[in-house]
Amino acid sequence: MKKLIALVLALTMILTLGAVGYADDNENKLVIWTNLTADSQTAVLQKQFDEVAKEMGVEIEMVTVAFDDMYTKLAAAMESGDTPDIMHTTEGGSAYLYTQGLISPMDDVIDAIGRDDFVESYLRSITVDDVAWGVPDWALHTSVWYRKDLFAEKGLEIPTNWQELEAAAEALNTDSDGDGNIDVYGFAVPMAAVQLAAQSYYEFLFTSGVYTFDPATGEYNFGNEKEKAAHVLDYMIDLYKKASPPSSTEWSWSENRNALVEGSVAMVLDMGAVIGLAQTNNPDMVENLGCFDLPGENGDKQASFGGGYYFVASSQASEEKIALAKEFITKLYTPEKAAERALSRPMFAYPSLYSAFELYKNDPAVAQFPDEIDSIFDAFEHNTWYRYGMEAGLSQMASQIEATTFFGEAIQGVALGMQTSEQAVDYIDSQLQVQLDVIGQ
Amino acid sequence: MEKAHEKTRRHISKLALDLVILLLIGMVAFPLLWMALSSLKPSVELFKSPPTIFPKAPTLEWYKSAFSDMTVVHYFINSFVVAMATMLINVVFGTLAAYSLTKFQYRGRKIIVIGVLSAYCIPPIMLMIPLYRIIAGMGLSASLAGVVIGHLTVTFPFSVWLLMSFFRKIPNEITEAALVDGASDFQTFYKINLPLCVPGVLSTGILAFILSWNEYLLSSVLVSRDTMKTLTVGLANYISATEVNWGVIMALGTATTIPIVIMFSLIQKHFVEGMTAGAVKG
Amino acid sequence: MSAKAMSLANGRARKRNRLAIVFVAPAVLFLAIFVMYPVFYNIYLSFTDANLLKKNTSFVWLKNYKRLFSDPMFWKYAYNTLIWTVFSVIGQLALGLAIALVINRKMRGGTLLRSFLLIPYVIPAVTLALVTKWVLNGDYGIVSLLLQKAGVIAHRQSLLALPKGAMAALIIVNIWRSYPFPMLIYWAALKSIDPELYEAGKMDGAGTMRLFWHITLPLLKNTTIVLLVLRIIWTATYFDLIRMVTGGGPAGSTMHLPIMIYQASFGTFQTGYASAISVVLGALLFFCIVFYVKKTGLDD
Repeated sequence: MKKLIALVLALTMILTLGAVGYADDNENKLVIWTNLTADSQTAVLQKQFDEVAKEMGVEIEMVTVAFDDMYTKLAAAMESGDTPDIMHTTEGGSAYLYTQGLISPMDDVIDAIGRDDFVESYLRSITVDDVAWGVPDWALHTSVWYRKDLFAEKGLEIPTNWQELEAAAEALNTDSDGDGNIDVYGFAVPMAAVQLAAQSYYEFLFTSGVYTFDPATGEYNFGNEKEKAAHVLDYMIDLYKKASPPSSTEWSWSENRNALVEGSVAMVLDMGAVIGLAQTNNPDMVENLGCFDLPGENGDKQASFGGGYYFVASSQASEEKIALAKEFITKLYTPEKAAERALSRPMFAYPSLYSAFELYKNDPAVAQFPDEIDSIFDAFEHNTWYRYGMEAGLSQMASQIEATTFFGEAIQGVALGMQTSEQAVDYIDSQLQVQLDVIGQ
Repeated sequence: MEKAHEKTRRHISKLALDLVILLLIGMVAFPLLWMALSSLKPSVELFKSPPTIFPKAPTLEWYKSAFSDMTVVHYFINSFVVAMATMLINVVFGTLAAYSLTKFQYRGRKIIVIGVLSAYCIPPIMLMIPLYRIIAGMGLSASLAGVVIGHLTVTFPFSVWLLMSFFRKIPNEITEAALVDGASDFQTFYKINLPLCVPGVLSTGILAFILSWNEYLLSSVLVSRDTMKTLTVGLANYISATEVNWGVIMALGTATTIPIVIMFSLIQKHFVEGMTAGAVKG
Repeated sequence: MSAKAMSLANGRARKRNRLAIVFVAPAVLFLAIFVMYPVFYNIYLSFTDANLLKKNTSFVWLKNYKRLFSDPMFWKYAYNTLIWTVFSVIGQLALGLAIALVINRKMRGGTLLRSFLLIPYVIPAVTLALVTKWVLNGDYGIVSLLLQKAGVIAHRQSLLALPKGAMAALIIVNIWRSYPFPMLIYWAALKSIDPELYEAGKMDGAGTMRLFWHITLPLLKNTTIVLLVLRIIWTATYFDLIRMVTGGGPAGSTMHLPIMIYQASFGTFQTGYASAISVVLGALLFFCIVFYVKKTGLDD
């Protein structure tokens, strides 16, 4: 028995020590975090990272940190001084790290790759006071993805203003088996509390020119446009009531995209991921899908919702290591590599380099959609896309909006008839102001 | 006549009782069975409305695709390592503490007993923020040791309390007789009392393993990177992800739950004894 | 007793004490560092403006509390917590007692049935959450489809998208996972009731219902009170299920204080504010904890 106790004790110690000793440190090893979790994307990243690591003779460790818990993980890493050397993340993640003073300026890297090759708007969103804090990888853009076949069947034209959009959506509501229930809804308005509600709402807000921060002055702006914001919300909720499945108040991306791909909704707001999904889950549907830009209320569209991914480098490591990280990132920007990364999620991600875009366009995976690609790239070129909270450049507000659910709570409340749009907008405004206070902007 | 009437009444009440029991079994089985059945359905059947009850073309594709992913294998390994460490620490130090608190009299004992019970009552949500900071401050946030510490705060007070109820059942006369025979205190512990308590110690350990395997809140906060994720955290990310793969989720849910149910059925007899012997007095 | 024997006995007692203290020391140390200290640390944090975005924290006294009590959302979530707790606790105690009465009878396979009915006790919350989301999915969920057929909810609607429906669904699932504990404790209490009491009652011509009301229930009073207190503590602070099933939605209708704490600390990074909420929740439950500890610990 004594032996047994001794054994058990020893085992406990070893196990615990083993677990403790898990974290290691190595000067020649780069730790790279990415928020991408889709297999097709992480596979390409891992492959490219391995290639570059081999070329440079360094060790790397790629860590995937899901977007959902990125902020918690970053905060923990920060607290224990354990932040990654390179991070591949959104504007929100970049802004968080920038605010903490954890990342290095990247203008030297951008110049080394060739500043002129970058699409300008990609750089804008990572820049504060003329300093770029990350290297843009690719960006995405929200448009309305729709069923071309159903539009043709009903003799509908592409809507050019809100009234036409709503009319088209209602016309597309179909009860195909005659049981009194709608089987195909016209337009899905997904409003899951995490991300979706805010992203749907911002797509409508941006087309109407309502911004969180004034793009020109950088001043907080939402509070000055509450009337307009309430009007936009009224329209969105009206659209939901007339043409969106009732439970779409809880829909996240997967429900939204599945609905279009499986044929139970005729239009959705999406970043083109429906194409990839249709290609794997319902290939027959691919040729029926097309996209158009969400129109403005009177046809005078201002901007749209978008976002992207960036490579940022830590400022916490030794100088040699920072230089190593920067060299590593530079090597990831050959036109082929950049195009390959964007193509790991075709039609969803668009590369930041003109040279990569040429390769991208001609790839068989997206060659089917030349018009769609041109119209989306046009938005990138003309500087008319923003991420919420980033209208005036890199800001911590984007991560505050992403990590919270107050947009969802307020918007769902209107959809469920628990409050008016005015009340919801007031609440959103008050919460945005709390966040302003938190981030000290 | 009267007797026949009584007989039918009894018959009916017996039937009603059987029905109630059947209903209870159905109530417990339905969610678990439905998950297991769903995990065996191919995509076409999974998203069919109305759904098929039993899979027409059962398939293991979801299990294959779940376990072909090394990250999922890592979730299982992490959960196992954490639960194992939690169990061992609970068993060793829980047993020592419970023995001390039941078989000795000393100043401060009472306060410690009350402390253990109070610790048992403190819900993890209260500990979440400070533990997160303390563990990060100790530099443990990048290792599973931090998660183990979190799980110990949930399991340890309960284990001590449960073990105390097992030790209390061993009559003190045995200890005294051994002491009179010249055995040392340590000998009376590991040669006399401990062997009598083995089933209780083992079931407490397994229960701690189960609690740790199931723990979500503290794990989700204390896990700081993907390679450290435990099953519950990994699975929770799957269901709250913006893109949900139901087949894989059902397969993982089933694979997570089966070992727990098996382990629990092994110890449930002792668990019932411990719980009803006043571990948590009612 | 001779002086020598006395000193021997004393020496022995000292040694005994030493062993007892060595045995209990690791436990005490652990609980002090990782349970008791965090509780006080939490209270301390609630008086600061600690924030995951800032490296420096300063003392702000009652600012967090003032802000909390003037936040209308706090009162809304506190009300949700109350609804969630009251119905969950009543539900699990009632179901637990009902099942305890069923399994307390002598029958074939009784032990097996009891073991089977204990299973929900160890089902991981994450499993339960994923099944709930699956069966309540508006498009493919079997329970949703049945409810749609029965006309309880609209076509392609889900309980989880309706404020009252989501809360009701969560409470039902929570009752499912938490009845085994009361069941077990009630069953133990029922077993300890002297059968002669029932015999006497029957002699007086009392029916089953009367026996239950006048003999069983009064004897279960103490058990019920202790269970009630313990389950209130656990339910009011229970986070996992709501977090994973609705995350507090739709429209905040299932948002309760634990979710609010999580949101404030890891959603908007306001550690100090989040600590203040958890201190308030803790204070509300403090009396429950003291009551329970007194009731259970003092007669040790």
